[in-house]
Amino acid sequence: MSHFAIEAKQLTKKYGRQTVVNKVNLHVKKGRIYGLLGRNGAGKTTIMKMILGLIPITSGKVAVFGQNIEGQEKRIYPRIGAIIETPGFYPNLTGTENLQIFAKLRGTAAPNAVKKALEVVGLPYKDKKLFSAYSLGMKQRLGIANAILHDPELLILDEPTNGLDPIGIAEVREFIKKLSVEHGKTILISSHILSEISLLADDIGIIDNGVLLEESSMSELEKRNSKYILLQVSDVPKTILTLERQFHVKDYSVQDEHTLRIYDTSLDMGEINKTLILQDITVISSGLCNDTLEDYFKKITGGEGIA
Amino acid sequence: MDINSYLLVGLVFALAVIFYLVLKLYRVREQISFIKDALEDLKRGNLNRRVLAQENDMTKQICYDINEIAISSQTQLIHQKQSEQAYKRLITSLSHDVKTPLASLVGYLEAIESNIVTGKEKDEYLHVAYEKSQHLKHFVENLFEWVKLDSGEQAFHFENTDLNELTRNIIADWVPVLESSNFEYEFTIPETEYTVRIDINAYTRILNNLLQNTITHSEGSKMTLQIVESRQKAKIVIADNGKGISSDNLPHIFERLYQCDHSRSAKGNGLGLAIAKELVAVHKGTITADSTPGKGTEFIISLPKAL
Repeated sequence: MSHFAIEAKQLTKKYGRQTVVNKVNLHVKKGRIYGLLGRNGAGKTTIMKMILGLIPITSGKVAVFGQNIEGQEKRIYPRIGAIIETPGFYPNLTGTENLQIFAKLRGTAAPNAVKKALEVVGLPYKDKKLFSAYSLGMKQRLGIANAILHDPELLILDEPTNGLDPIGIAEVREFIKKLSVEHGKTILISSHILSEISLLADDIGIIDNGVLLEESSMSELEKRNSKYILLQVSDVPKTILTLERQFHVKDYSVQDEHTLRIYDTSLDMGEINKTLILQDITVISSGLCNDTLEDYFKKITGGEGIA
Repeated sequence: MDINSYLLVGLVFALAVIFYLVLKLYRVREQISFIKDALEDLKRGNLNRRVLAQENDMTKQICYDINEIAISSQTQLIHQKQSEQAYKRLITSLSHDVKTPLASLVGYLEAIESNIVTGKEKDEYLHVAYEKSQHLKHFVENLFEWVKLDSGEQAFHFENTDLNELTRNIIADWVPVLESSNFEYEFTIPETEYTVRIDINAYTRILNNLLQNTITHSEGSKMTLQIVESRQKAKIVIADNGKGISSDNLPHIFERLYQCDHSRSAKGNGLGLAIAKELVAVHKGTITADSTPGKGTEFIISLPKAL
């Protein structure tokens, strides 16, 4: 059994002469949150629609749970929950009534499914308010409730925090995280906000102009993101003594027998190297790791960055 | 003729019944095939798989029961994985937190041992080495205390004690420390007697940890301690006017080995507040923190009068 919930190979979408999604290889691992990051119009929604089989694929392949979705809809759709763009609900019914219709259509995994789904997103059960009177934030929440109504394994959420206020965004982020951490769900989420994705995702894919520029785990990115001087020396205790006495370095940590990290990056490495060598300490290597996430995104998207 | 028409009605009725039963059978067969699929998947270890059932399906209860079993095994498995991960994280950060001061200590001692330093400088080196070894000792002690608490091996001795009197006795020891650290202080403790059932050592430890935390980390100049009592519970509020804790850090301060400034310098060890929290929990109380960056932090302990 493959450990990918979604695997896309060379996925391409063309509208006429225009290529909207260009040879995307996407790997969403089971039980993790995958953040698809890109500016508006980068191709995020198109990719999600192709994964769900809502629009035809020009070329390439997508496997969901290791299967081709075409012809298997009846077996695969019940295992997915999705919001793509604005979800469609009946304006003249209440939120609860709307969900009850979907529960009847799709079936449920447990009794009281509607009540539980509303609880998760923080909407009242059997409230009298009609959907047409809902605020944008409430509509968005109802959309998410609908996506989790049948307790699916895989959630595909296209900009789920659009239209929410900052507190709402934090709440939605919190329960998406909870769905993954406490319930083991796989989640594919798209956003154009770097800080959003970096707070939530385990893995991240950066898309720009239909091309997937980078696919990597968040911890890998964070490693590249921290600022420190990496110093490999023959004698760690002696080096520390020199650093403390002569350079007044306090903020450092020992990685292993020969490796030190110094978190004060303003130090003059040339001077330090010279002093160490004069004391018969062999400096195997010394280097500055200094790259913020923002800088990194700017670099790979060609300078403009994603905000 | 009469009989014939009766027969015809009977035949139509029988056909209708057969048609209905065939439909029903078809639906049940389809359901069973879905259940079989899901069970196959569950057997292979995908505990997120659910079987969906419609309101009047004959197999509804079976589906719901399968889902319930899957959910409870999944929850168990996730808990197990989480504690394994927490343990791994503890060991990793531990190895750094012990290695770093130890390497530095060795550095100083080597310099003394090999007579690189002499006279006054040697005395200073000895002093620094001593301080470092003390710090390391405290860290290891705290760590063992935490592990003991965490695994539930610590034994407690609860007795009825006057909370106000006990608190006064504890802070009396802190007055000289506060004065030498240039802290103004103000204590508001009721003169009356207020009996609670607590472990005296544990309570002393809670206050000590919080006061030590304020002195070491707040960078403030004033500390207040106030006790507010009601019939059911006592609230102990310890506040400072220091730099405060940012909202990013605030939710994590009671986690073990969490340090706000991420620096590995000699101050603190990231265990004090975690221990305080565990000890408050033993008394069925709660501890929370409230902070405005730049204005100060407030720790609120709430202890029930009866256990």
